[in-house]
Amino acid sequence: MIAVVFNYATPSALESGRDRALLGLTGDGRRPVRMHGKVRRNLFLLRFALRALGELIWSGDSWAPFLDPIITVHPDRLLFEAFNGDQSAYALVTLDMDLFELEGELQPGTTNIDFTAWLWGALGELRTSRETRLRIGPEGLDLRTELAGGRFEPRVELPESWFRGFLELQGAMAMAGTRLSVRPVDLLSAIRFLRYSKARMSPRAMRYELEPDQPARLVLEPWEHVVPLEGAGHGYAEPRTIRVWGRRRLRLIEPLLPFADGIDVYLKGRGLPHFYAVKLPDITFVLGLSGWSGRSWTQEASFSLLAGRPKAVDPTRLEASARLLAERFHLQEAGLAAELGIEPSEAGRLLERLVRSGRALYDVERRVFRGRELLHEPLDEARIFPPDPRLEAAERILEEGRLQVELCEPQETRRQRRLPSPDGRITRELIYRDWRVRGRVAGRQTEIVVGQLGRILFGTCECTFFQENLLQKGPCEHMLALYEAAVPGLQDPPSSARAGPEAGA
Amino acid sequence: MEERLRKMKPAELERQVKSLLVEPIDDRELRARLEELAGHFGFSGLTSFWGPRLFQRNRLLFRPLILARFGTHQWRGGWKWSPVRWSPELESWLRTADAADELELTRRLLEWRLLDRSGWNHRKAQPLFRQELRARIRPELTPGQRGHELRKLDSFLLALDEETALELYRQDPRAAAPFILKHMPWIYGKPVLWEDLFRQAVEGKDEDFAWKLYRRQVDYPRWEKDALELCRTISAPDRLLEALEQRHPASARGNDMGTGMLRLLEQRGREVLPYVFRHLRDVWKPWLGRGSYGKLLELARQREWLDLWSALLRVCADPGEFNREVRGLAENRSLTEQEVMLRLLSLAGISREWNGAGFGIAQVHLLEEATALALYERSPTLLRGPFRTHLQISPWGPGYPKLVRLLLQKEDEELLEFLASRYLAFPSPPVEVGHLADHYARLKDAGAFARRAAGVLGRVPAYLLFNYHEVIRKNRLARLLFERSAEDYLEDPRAVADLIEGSEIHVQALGYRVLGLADPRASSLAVEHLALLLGTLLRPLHRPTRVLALRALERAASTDLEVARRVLRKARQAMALPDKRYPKEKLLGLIGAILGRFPDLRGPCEQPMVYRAS
Repeated sequence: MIAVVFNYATPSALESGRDRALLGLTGDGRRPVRMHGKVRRNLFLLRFALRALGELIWSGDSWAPFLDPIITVHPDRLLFEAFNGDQSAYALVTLDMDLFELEGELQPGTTNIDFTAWLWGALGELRTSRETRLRIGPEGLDLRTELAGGRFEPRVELPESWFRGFLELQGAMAMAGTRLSVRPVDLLSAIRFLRYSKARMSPRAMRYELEPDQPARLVLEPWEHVVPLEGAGHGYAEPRTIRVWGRRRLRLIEPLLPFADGIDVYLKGRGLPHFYAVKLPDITFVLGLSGWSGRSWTQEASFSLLAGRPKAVDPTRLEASARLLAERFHLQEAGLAAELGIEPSEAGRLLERLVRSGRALYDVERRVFRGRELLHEPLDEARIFPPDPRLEAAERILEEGRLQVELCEPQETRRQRRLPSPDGRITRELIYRDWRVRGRVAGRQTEIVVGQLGRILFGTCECTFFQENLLQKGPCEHMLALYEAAVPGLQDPPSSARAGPEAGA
Repeated sequence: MEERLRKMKPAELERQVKSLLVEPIDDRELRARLEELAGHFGFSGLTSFWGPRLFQRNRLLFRPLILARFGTHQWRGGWKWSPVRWSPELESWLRTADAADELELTRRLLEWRLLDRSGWNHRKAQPLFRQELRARIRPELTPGQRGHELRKLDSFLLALDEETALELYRQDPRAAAPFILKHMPWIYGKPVLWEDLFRQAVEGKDEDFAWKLYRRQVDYPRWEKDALELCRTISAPDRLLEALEQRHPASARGNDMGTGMLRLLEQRGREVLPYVFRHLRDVWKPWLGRGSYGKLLELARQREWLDLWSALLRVCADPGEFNREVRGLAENRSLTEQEVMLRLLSLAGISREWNGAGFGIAQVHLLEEATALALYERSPTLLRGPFRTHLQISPWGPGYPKLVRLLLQKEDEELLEFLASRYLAFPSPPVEVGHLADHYARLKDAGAFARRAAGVLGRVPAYLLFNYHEVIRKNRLARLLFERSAEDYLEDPRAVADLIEGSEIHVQALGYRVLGLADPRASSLAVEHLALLLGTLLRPLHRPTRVLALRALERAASTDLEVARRVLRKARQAMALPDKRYPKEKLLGLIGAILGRFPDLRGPCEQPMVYRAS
């Protein structure tokens, strides 16, 4: 268990008069941030988004404890994050700063805010007819009510598995995968179908079926009910099916969908987390579903193993990356690589490591890493990610030399794109390269496909563990051993080539 | 089939299962047919027969069935059940499952074996569980393997003793610590701290585990002694608070922690206040006996610790005591105005709250009418602001008749709106509801009705009106605001916004009704609120509410081609929703009305077709 103590000056509250309202969110006094602003527009959407966040916090099937929502104030965005007690759902609410007319100085940073069911109920009183201000700070509401409710220091004890789940889900957001842009009404159709049709037996998954040159479609099991996702292009040249779980929690975004402009669905692979970015004017609500609740998700080593053993990183560079992220607020791999004078792949590893240790988050919409310290004190990574028997077994296989790599070859997908450059827009042929590795590991035929970011995308093995679980509980020891033997030494050839008129020049 | 299954006798069921298992059918068909039989409540009692066979046949395919229907007691007909004896066949099954690291199945089989050996006596089974655990956790295991072995014995029946816990902890403190904490014995009598284990953890600098163990096992006298010792030995306040927190018992176990807290406060004064604040709930509530609550309050008064005094009153006082203090302060003329305000302010707010698993409860002390009157007389701002939460009315309570009369005299619209929003939900309204109804009826003549009435309705909390028709029949105020004033709300656009954004669905429905009126003002307001109205096409709504919303949308769409296009696009999307009670015929009516009004919006298949005789 990890104990976290917050220091709140007053409870968060909504003060609502006849013409004015003030939503005061009290931050942890030990990590002060400040953001005061008048809400310019879309107040009712803000109300719905914050209430959906609250519903997610208490949506677990158990009374398991959870962390108060984490709020990150950056000059361009305001981010709220929450992860529920049974580790099944994660939310990231991103508000554009344009939504507010800022008052006074902005103090960027990350803190936790007091968010109770009482406040959740009070949020229903936000009205567009009242001039509404949002105040985030350690002081809570203004001086007039400073003492109402009094200072309090709640303490919550969370299991390591909760943090593991949170960080793994966060890490999954940065993984490569499939993105579908779907209409809100299509997702709503699926949610309503599930509302009226209860499946009392498995299979209770949903499948995204991606046929070449056709929009994707969503299939609800066990009825095999098909929801066509109109206009959801995917670009796959071969049929592909991605099966995911956790659909019951999709209901958490139901109140937002009637007002949404669109939804981006991010699929990371079979049985892996899936994300739904609901786009509202000035607001994006990202719902992440782990597909599991409670122990199954985090007691078994899950998809963090898809990247093999945690890569050793240079601690000095890691610290430098964290500092840079804190200064710049957000960075991409290329930006960090340029700043530190390192390869983009190493920059990617550094950023992934920061996410894994709770010091950064991945903004899936803008595709940048943002600085965010999860807790006041740094998390002990060794405690959050304890030794895993599969990794131990893989290491034994490697030590004993019971492994033979038979094939290690790149598979290329090429696409032409026009890219901005200092000399104007140029046409390049981008090469997306996955590595196919095959070998015989401890007497079993094993094959893996490793994506550009060095993660196992999929694979097969003859062992019982794989046969029984596929990749739902992460790769087996044989895949891990094969990965460790073949992948770290891979050389990355150029990832784009000249194309179009420039090709002949 | 279900009827036949229900009537099936135990012997018949057993015969069917046995014959099914020897039939030459493939695994999938066997599973399907077994699933049918599994509907019989006696099926799980035959686990000892079908379990090992299915596991051997195809453990991947049958694992979910085995785990879902696993049972250790056999049905003998009627109400008779008896435990199934452990057999060599089960022993062999356990060995296979254990070797294959089938964690959940191994755990269940181990429970079965050990309970059978102890004659199904849980208490007698405890030593057997511990023995099994000691045999399995060997020093040569890797941390990962040890984790697997611990999970195989992660049974609710396992209660560790200190000796076993110590042995486990010596081998692998990191893996053992959470396991030990999870399997500590239930404490029936006086708790006993496992001193050796505690010492070992402290010596090993495993402070986290050591203090968790201490908090779970320490008895009250020991805690009090240790806490007072800390007060004597640690001078730095921060370190003292940390040490006290480390040692605070996980459960008060019927002890009033207030006595210990009083002694701490007497010794170290304000330095220990943050610790006391965090654990005020462990001070006995008055209905469980006075405990040390009174003495703590007295101490806070004597030493003029306003924060402790107010926190004690909020968290530990009964409603009578709370009201007495507030009234006393409100009527106090000896203290300065600033001091009175400060004290009153510190008493406002939530007493206790519980949040989790889909709902939250917050407790506040309700103000009695005399207290509310005294407070209003002293400071109306306080009653309108922080103390408004403390004004709540229930159909069974006395209400606030005098306060309502006073507010009407003073024309304090803000508080009147708040109280009226509560009163209008009463199906058996008290007399003050009549006064309020008269007041709002008079406002109609004065031209200030819309904003004020919408202010009342906007404050109605969600789900407050669960018996709308009865309330409308019996409550004059509700009848006036909901049913008899629709057109009046059109006078103020902000009033209409308040209605459609209301928390209560009947308030929203009123808003839609207002926007659906055949009035040019309604049409322009409907366009103004188009974003919200469009959402109603896809939101889950009851049929009558949706019909009102559709009418409002029709009004909006009738004004302008671009608006009509937006409404039409969303309405067409809504046709795809699988909602059972969605009034699709009304939706079709809306689409038809828009297409009739704006023929340019018609699609190729929506053009009118005129048939003529050839």
